[in-house]
Amino acid sequence: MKRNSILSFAIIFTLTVNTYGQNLATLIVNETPAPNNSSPTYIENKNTAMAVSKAILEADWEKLDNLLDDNFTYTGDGYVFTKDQYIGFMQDMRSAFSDFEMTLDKAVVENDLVSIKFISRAVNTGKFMGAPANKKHLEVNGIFMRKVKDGKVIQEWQTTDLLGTMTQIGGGSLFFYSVFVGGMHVKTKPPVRKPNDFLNIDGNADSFDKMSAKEKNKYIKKYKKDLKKKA
Amino acid sequence: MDKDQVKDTALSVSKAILEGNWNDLDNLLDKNFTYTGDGFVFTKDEYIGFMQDMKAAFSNLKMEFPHIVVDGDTASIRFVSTAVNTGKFMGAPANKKNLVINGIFIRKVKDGKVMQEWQTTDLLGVMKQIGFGALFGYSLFVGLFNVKQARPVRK
Repeated sequence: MKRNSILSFAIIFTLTVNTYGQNLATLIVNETPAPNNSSPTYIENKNTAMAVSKAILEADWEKLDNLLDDNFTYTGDGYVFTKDQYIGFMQDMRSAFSDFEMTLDKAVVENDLVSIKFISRAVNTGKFMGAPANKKHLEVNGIFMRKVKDGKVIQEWQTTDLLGTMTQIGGGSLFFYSVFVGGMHVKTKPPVRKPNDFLNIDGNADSFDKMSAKEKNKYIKKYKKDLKKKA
Repeated sequence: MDKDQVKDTALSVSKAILEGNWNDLDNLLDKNFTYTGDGFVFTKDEYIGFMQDMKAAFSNLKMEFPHIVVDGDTASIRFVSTAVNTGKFMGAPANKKNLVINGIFIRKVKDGKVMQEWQTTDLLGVMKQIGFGALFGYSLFVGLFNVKQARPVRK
């Protein structure tokens, strides 16, 4: 009996260690029913807005490209991004976090605007926004508003609890950030868009998600190095 | 309730805060009201206390609502606030700077009262505007010493 419990503990421990940071990204949608008298575009616009989050989670950059209007702009947390910068930012984020789980709830829809409250949970396994990886489980809360026209998102506004995220990452990152941005007046570089195969090893991001943090960072480093060579 | 009533009730909360009309704010919030935002969960009294502290620390407080989305009993509203930080707030000393604060809140309304609110504010952007001192101070305070902020108290 005692031997069995030690054995099962060892198995559970091994499984936990092996799967840490190596789970596939998942999207959880807490569906809120559409009101009875809602317009035909209600569900269509809501689905388009949600498809953007789905594409980011699946690292499907081609789909994300198709879902965003060419003149798309993003305004959030002190940044203004073009379409390419937005995709670049999402690529950086997707590459720096593992065990990504995103929950979408409280969809508020009226005419061409869709507002959704979300909670993202992930492990920070790569460098992001100037802060080094810390392997901590983070919970990021936010609300976005997406403006939809003809099946494409033309504008997005978002606020994320970034201060809360930095507090979770720890004193180091916030301290570093305060010196970096505040003290030296350094502007963080605008994110750069990578090709559509970024993080897609076998046509999707599954293989990337299953890698260890070390393997992930090695892949990203090599990808960026090869990209530089090609340019 | 129709859409206009949901919208009006949700906006009346912001109006009461801007005017410092705590009686109106009290009447507009359900007694079981909860607020979840930027890492905080507040009861009705803590929420009023927080807003009282904010109103006391900022002068020339103005709010604009560029986007209002109403769906059933819920309103999601994007706001841009401008104010001058003339008093101590959230551990940071007054700096007399003009600040622009961006955020989105979602308010759930029932029978003319707000039942629940969720909000995210660009607090990092605010700290950037306040300057190096505030962010540096905050990072030392919260990050290195793991000091928890005191709960807001209703006056």
